[in-house]
Amino acid sequence: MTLIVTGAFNPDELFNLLKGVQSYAAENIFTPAQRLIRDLPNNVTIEDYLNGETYQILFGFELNELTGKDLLVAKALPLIFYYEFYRYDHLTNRPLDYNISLFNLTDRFYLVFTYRDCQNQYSLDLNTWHQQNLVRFYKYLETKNFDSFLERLSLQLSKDSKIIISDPPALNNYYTNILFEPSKLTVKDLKTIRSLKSKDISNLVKKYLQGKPYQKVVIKAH
Amino acid sequence: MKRIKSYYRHCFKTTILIILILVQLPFLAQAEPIIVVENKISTEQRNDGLTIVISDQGSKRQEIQYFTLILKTGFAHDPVGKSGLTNLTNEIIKYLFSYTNALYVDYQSYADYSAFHFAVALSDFNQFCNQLDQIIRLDALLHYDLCNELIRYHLNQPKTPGLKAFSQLYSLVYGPNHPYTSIFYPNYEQLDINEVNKWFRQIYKPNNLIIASSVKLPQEFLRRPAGRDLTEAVSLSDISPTAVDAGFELKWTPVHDNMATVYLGFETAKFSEEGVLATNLLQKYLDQRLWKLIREDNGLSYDPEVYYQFTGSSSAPMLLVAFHSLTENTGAAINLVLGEFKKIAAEGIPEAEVQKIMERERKQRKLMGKDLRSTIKTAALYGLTGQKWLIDHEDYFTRLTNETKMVPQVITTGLARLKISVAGPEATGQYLEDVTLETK
Repeated sequence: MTLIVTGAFNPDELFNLLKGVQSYAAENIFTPAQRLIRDLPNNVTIEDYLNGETYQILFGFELNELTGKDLLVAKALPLIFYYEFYRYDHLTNRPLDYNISLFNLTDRFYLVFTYRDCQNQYSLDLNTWHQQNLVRFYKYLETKNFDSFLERLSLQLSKDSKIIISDPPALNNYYTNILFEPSKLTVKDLKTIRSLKSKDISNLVKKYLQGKPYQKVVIKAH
Repeated sequence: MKRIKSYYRHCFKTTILIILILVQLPFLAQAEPIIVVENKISTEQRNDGLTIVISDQGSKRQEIQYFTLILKTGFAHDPVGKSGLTNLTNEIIKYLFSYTNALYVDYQSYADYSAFHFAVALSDFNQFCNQLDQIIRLDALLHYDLCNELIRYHLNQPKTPGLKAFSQLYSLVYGPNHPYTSIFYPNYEQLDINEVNKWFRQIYKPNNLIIASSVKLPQEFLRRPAGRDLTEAVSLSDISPTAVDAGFELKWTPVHDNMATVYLGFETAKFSEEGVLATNLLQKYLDQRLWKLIREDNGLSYDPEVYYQFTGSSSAPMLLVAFHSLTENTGAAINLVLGEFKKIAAEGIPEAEVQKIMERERKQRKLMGKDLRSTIKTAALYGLTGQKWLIDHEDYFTRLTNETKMVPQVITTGLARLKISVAGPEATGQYLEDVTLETK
């Protein structure tokens, strides 16, 4: 067990209280994690109740072990659309609100693009449109100058660093992420974020996304 | 000789004094009254209508300071046919605020007002005020693309079964065309940056703002000229009283879902009215009691929650019970809530429970007093409502104690006009037939 306590408290009092907590050293009862994505077929379509949406489509990429700049770019990627606000495809009159999330299981990282549609029923045309959007997204990430995004990200992390000094819940959250959530961007990444260039984003796309296999899951409204 | 000198000295002193008084007089006549409400909180009502509430920390100033801006316009003030306009305007403003020196910006939309909360480094405070000042004094928001993006974003939000049940409850409690329901029926197709700018120019003026801050504002804040008349009084249409039949009503809508969403609610006292603290006490009691009754004892729902205007996301005055349940459990869960309501109407809240809630409130208030962010948020609400109990703990507990005996009356009145809204699968209807206020 790991206990993270932040705020105004007396550490000695806390340690005394913790003496009463029975500690036990168990054997490692965890079995190696299953490689969920690899065990599934490449395309999965299921039907389920959705909360107001007509369908959801997910594209999952297995990024394997990520370190250094690659990991940092992957952590920053989910924030790019957030920074650029709500993009739109004017030709088809459809929003391009893909939600990107990075998560990890054991030492492996997975990048998932999720789209939730509230207007159209899922069709082969839409499937093609989504696959084209992925290609469009690769090109966009490869060619666009992201200096202003990276600058804004640095500024935001620098602001966060000031907040966590005075806010115990934010500080607690920070330590939780550092210890248990390697896919979360934190103030600790600030120095490396400042050294990132648009080219690093382009490199990640070439290395892990472009032309690489992905897992597609479609959830149609029941 | 000495007497002559003394005479001239006296005349000189008197003349200086008269000159000083004359020089001061115009300023004294214009002086803006400062009312000290409590040791730490002072309120200033400026001549231009801006209300400023300052929570002074004395010499113990921390590095991070807090600032709340309340706009006395909420979604219920949207012009007819332009629902969503206040929210859209505020979203663009929030975007601009996010580019100030503020460490974070949080925006909340309410029926009667809108609130922006900021954290600012002490060293950046004056610069932040200057940036905020410039944004508020803008002539127009030149963000055509952003406005369109936000409109498209809202138009593509899912109409969830929960939202259907929620909007149905608001229509039942306040009437289908009441301004409080406008948030559920936005006219985004009718809105654009021109509408936003017209509205922005109308509502963003000092006399429509309340500012609460942990640091004194710069003297020149919002005093510089702008390209529009900032002194003109903001005129908003009054929020009409509710127009519904008083009486118990249950309405259910079939939706394609695997469970039912249930909302029970009745109109309650507003911030300025008697009974607001009795209802607050009731909310706190019901929140824990219904959790035990519905979830722990009977396993009919996993998420029963009770909201009031203090805890809800809307300032519309309503006591609200919300939960999800399996279709076959819907009627039974509603009847449990009604049974509990009737029990409280007959017996009140058990004294031991009142004491527990009071004790918890004392601890919570003590903690809030130490937390500058909470203090500033509360100070802003005080600036809006003028309710002293928000900032005066003793006054709060005195009133809370006095209003405890009002609880049965509040719930009896509420039961008489209780509305229930259900959105659930087709089969839900048959399980609602047994829902009744009558005691079996």
